[in-house]
Amino acid sequence: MSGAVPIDAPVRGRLDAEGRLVEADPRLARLHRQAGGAKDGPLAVPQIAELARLASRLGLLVSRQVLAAEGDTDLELTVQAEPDGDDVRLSLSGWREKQPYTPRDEPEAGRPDAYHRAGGDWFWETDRSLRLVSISADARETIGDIGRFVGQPLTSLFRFGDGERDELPILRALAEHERFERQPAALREAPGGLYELSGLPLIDGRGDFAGFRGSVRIVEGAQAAPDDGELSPETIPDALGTQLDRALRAPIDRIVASAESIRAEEDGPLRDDYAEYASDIAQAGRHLLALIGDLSDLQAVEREDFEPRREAIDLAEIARQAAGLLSVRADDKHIRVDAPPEDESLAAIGDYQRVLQILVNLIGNAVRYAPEDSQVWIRSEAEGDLAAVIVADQGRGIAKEDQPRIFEKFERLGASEPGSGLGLYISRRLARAMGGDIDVDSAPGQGARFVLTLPTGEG
Amino acid sequence: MSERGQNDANPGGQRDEALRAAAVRLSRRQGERAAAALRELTDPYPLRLSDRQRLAIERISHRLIEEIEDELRGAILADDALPPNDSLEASLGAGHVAIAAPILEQAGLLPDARIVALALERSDMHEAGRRLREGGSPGQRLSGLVGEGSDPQSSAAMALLIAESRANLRFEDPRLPLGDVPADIRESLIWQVAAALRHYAVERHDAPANEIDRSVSGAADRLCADMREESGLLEAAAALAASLDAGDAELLREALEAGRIALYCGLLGSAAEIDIANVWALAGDPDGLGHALLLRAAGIDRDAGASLVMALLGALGDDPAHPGGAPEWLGVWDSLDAAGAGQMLDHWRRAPAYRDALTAIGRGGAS
Repeated sequence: MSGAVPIDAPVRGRLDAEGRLVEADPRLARLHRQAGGAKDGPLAVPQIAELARLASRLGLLVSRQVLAAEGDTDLELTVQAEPDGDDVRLSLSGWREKQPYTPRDEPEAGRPDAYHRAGGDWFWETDRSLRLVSISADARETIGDIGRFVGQPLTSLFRFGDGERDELPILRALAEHERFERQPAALREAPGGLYELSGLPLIDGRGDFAGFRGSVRIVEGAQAAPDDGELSPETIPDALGTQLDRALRAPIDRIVASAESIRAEEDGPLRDDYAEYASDIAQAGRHLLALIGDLSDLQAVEREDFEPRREAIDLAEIARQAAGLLSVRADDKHIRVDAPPEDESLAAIGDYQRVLQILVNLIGNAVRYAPEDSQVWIRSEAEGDLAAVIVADQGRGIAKEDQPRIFEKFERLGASEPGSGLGLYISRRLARAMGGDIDVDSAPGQGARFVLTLPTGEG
Repeated sequence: MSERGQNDANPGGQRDEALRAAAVRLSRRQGERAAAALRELTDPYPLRLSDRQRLAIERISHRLIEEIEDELRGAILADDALPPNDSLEASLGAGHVAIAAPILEQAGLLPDARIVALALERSDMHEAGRRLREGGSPGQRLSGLVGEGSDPQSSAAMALLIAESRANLRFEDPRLPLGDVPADIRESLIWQVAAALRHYAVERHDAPANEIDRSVSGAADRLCADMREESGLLEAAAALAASLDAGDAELLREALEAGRIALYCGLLGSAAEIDIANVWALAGDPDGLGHALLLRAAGIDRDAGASLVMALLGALGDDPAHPGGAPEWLGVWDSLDAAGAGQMLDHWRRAPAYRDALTAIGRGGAS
């Protein structure tokens, strides 16, 4: 628990224009030294240095509470940073020592692991609607960016298979609100591996089911997350899109999640217009996320040495998955998506994730531009040494003279059209990088048919 | 024939019974809704909660319970002496799972009238401060208090700054940290949450009662002890106000225009010799009368006082159709001197329990 170590007077300091600690009361100087700072060197306490930079940039006095480390304890400080010419004056107060934070869901040293940790490679937790509320950091090696799954259904991450008695253990556990073990599963985005899920039911104060907390064990053939090392800042001097993606995605995810919880009135009833504002915020946030994703993809596909993976894939199955991902959006507009039947398969050579990305883009566009109560068809067929997926809609169609334009960067058919104008450009570049292409067949008033072709690998 | 046999033989009768029961429920619900609507219509307008207040009270109250619950749940999870219980650990460790609040609600311990009163007060102070800040300025003298000095006044100014920042969430929503709750209420809440967690662990997860008692009561004890060392927003404001010239009308104006409501209450309370905990109940009076009495008792002159009352009334007023009864409070001002106004406030100087009892018995007020 916290120990109050009050200090009577504020502790002062001064940073020069380069962020160097040029003046410091003894206690601040000690904090700087303990953080690894050198005499007259840049302030080594990053939270305070950041605040000083903010104050300098804004030209305003900024005051914040920060948590800094001092030896083995944490220190709660109130920091005031005030620009003074090119320098920044610091005034620190509070100085409350706190025991270092130990996250509640980490096992304490010496305490036996909980049952569901015993054989787990990584861990997950859902709410009562089976939407993921957290995934442990270890999962990154397998699924890459964890943040995009938080808030999504567990089934967006896994496809479940029958257990030992030809039933889904997780389904039975959900019905009975009891624990489950050895639920076979495959990752939707990397179907090559086999996993087993186990889970414990979470029970709230009313005795109601509140979700599951569980573990994932890799059984066999698990693939590592797509290696984006080629895009890491260490190997590429200016991977701006990737850095922007990493820096912006998490905070925008939180904005969208918070706005959605406000819109859903999870904390209590709201005036209708407030709920609408929250919905607008969430929508704007999702648009930003899509734009960030597009910019990151744009940088990747435009690199000269960009080379997607070449692996055996089932185009029909990927088409069904893409249709599934867009089913909610289609349902909102009462659009029926006619995907390839379950027993249909179409072999091709390509990068599974990138092909899924392309088809999500094509089907998403079809759903967006199709009128309500209409239909979108997805067909797969082989044409010689090419495998093709056709996505057809009943939208307003595209004039011949506009058809080349829609594949250009930042082109939209109208200023009011949604999106960044990058989707088809990126999709076509991806398709071509895999030895295929995307073409369109359309006319005004006659809907549009987009055709993705990829090599079958035969001939 | 048994009842079951009769029912089996007469499924139509079962259906009729179900329909009748549903009709009774519907009728009762309609009556309850009408009664609630009538109550809301007949409540004096200033007493009706706005959407903002309702939401703020709910949010503040829940967060207060969560703050206590987080500490106690963490302590139970960290207790090595407890036998392992994976189902209990999973639920205690899941931050999104509400445990104590539903149990306390079911037991009728929540909503707690004392917490609702504190939450309403905090919400109203926060909203008034926000509105005043929109049109006001930070104030030179008050900003400079933190400044260069290392004297007690600078420290007190910084302590208030810290307490003010703790009273706001990241998006400027009002917050009532545990340290701002009066000690008796705070400790009562802590023990209630401890009891709820004990009940949960024993009844839902078959945890050994004695072990859980030891663990949870030890954690509650420690939390109570830690919180006794904390000083909240009002204490910090009162401490700073005590070091200033509380009767300085210019300082009062600056505090109010900067939206620093707690400091304003501290200055006013110090000048009128009223405990800061009682000042907002008077200053926040939507009719302006309580505020006028405070200022009169503090010896503030008429023009300055009128300006302060109007400024705060403007920040408090939600409905332009209810402008706040300016003539009444001004009339009272003119009819009383400082001593007279001070006498009218005697009721507020009495011990809280005594005052509450007098009010309840119906013999409270200036006498």
